[in-house]
Amino acid sequence: MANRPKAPTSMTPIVENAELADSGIEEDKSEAAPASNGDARAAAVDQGIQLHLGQKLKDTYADLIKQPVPDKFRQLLEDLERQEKKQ
Amino acid sequence: MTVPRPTPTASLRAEFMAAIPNLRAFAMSLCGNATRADDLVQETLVKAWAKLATFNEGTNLKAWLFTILRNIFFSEFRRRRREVEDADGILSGRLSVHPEQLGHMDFQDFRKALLTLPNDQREALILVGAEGFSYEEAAAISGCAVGTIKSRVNRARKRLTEALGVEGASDYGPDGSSVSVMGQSTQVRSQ
Repeated sequence: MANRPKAPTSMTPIVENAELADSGIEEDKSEAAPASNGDARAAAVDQGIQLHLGQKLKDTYADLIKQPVPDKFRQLLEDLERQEKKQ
Repeated sequence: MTVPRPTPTASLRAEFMAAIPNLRAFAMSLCGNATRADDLVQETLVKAWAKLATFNEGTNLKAWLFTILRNIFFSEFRRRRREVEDADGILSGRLSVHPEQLGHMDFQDFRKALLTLPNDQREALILVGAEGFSYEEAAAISGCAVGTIKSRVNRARKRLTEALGVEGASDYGPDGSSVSVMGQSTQVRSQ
């Protein structure tokens, strides 16, 4: 977690800030399932993986979408439009 | 004699422009090579502009452009495959494993894993899971039945899980960093 820049005000004692920061830390909820039932655990892991993969797929794709578009595409469309007008 | 076309308006050009980031992402996801992806997008734009008369205004321009792009990609892929006489598809599948990259390094392992999927499965997964088209829209774009798209998406998910989970370490590099996408809360930085 990134450290928040401190924005102290006279109304906000430092102690309270520290409490806020603590409350933001979540406990690790990763599979702590007892290994007693292998099938159930495998199914839970599988579901977790599917969820994770779905999000990873979206993130990966979003990363591609946000890449800057080379100027040549704007020029291409302008050229196409110009040709169209000449005809 | 030429068939009279609707004059492309500035707003139509703007719509084309607006679709380009998605077209590039789709092309990159299909072929795995940044230069080839941009060639695909360029060819798509030229072709689409020439075929504007066949486009029904009011329908989904992005879906139409996606259809043109994937048709160019798949016909090119089939042609190349014939030329190389690569019956097993092994070479075709491996050609783009070390491509020119587009996008952030953090996603490189996952992009590589995607590229190990068969083209039709990867296409279906991207259209539905990443681009957010409905199964029906994806089927129309791919020119196949809705049930076919669903089964491709399911098989893609399964294969991707296997690839990343079981064979990840050996398949995607000596560092085995792709294992990190499986669900560990911290990404392994290996590059």
